[in-house]
Amino acid sequence: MKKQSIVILIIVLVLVLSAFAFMNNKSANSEEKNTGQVPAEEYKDFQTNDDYINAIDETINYIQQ
Amino acid sequence: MMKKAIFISFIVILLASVLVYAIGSGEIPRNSSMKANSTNTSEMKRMDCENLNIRVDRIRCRLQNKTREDDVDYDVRVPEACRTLRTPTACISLYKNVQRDKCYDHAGKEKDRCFRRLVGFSKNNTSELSARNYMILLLYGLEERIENANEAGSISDDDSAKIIDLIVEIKQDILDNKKRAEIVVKLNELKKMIRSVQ
Repeated sequence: MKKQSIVILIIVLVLVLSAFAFMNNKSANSEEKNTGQVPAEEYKDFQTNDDYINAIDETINYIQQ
Repeated sequence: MMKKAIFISFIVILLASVLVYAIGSGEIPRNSSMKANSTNTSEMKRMDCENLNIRVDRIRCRLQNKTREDDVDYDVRVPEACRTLRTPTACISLYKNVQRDKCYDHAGKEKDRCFRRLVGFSKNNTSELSARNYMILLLYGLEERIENANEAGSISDDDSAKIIDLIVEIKQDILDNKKRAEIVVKLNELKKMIRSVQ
């Protein structure tokens, strides 16, 4: 009986630790996504109102029709 | 012994659940009236603007008080574009992150690099969510330019307030997941307004 209890405890601990590991991994992946580098030629040189307006006009194409 | 093991397991699961819930929960900053009790004069002026009911009036009031959007403490004041959202947490976080990374201290390509890194918008990731967030930042950049022009005296308070009010409305539409066609109509109106004061 004692052996059985220890096994149950170990299983519970493993499950809890796995849940934490999964959560940490998920959050790390999302941070990595947000800090990903993009090629230099993609950057807009914002100097005038029209630079912003043009960038907005380009970006709106990625939004659902 | 078996009962004891089950009891201990139950306690462990309960504690873990509480911990996970605590990690996952976030808090939405409110327009706290407690913080409004500050005796600082400029703070009082700012809070007076926040008490106005009509958005364009609040914007005009902030322009007159020289309260720049990038100087705002978003723990105290919810950004205009986030106010009407049912779940404004992500919207407020976006504004806070822009401040944290000081994107508005940069110029030209560095500013764009900062915006894109923040929302994850790139050649490899053109997801709708990142595109919408990128547009919010672009509109915020445009708003900053209108504020600068207003401070320099080249656009009146009234015209600046009307333009910024429309910018905020477009940002709300973007955050409300409105379709492209609806947003384009307002963008065209914004372009006309901006070109008429240039």
